[in-house]
Amino acid sequence: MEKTVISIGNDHIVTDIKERITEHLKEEGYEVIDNGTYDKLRTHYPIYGKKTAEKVVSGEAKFGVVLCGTGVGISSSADKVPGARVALVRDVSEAVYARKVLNANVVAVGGHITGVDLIAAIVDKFITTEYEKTPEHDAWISKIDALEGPKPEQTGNDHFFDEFEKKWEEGYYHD
Amino acid sequence: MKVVIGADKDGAQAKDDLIKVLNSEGYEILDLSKEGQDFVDVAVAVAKETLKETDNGKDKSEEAARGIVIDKWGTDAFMAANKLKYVICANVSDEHSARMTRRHNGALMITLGTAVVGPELLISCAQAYLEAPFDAGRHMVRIDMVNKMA
Repeated sequence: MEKTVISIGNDHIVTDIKERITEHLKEEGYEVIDNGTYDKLRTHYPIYGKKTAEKVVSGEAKFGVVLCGTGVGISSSADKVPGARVALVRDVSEAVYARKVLNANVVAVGGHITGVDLIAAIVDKFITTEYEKTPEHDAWISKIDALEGPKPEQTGNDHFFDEFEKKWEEGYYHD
Repeated sequence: MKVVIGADKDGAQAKDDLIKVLNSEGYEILDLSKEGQDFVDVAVAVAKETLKETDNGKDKSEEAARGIVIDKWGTDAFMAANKLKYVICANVSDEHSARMTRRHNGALMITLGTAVVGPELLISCAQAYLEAPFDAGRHMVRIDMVNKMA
């Protein structure tokens, strides 16, 4: 049987947590696409939120998992990918709700907020809970979808953020 | 500071309780809740009004307006709000996330779910969010990236 594919991404704050969740998913029999980041060098969560969610929307992966410190930055970025429906959660119940009612396809957690065992439990339940198709649920999802505009320049564009990375390297952004 | 608030029927009671506390603390409240709104309506109404108050989220000063949505789960309003350009919205259920999302993400608004947090924690999360400053600096590069999306 073909393995279910999970797309995962994170920022530099929680790379170690991502690695533990990736290991867990592989042990559970999933195939994992790791979109990075791969080390602890300072980088920027929108790059990985976008990549991870786009793999789900394109069909390369069935579900996405994104992590940063609080989960907010990377989940907000991932949700701005057309077709992504992202749930930022801190417990299993929210993840189940997001699957059953909103047909969420990406789950986000704060790697510095939620413990690694609970994150694993959230991810496990998220990817094994089925969407409960009803006219009401379908209508809510259509209503959320209608908030998105077409984004041809954004979708699949690996250079979308280059202008900001250049400014970052030039020292434009500093504390 | 102006606080733009909205709730659907599941968040109505918690929203009224929160408004009482915030009024006593001197916040200016704009309650956009209306009969018959679902979580998408509420999220969009609060997001659009808060964007208007903050020059599309660019004003992240201590006095800048912020948005709060209360429904049953928070996840659903979060999913809807973040679809809108310039909206950085956090679904929170602890005070640390509530504070850090303003400090690091400059979050325009938060969502809170009454099925997730109890009445005291809900108020405490809202206070932590409203009292936090925005740290700017290196965090601006990520916000500029997010703002190019959607």
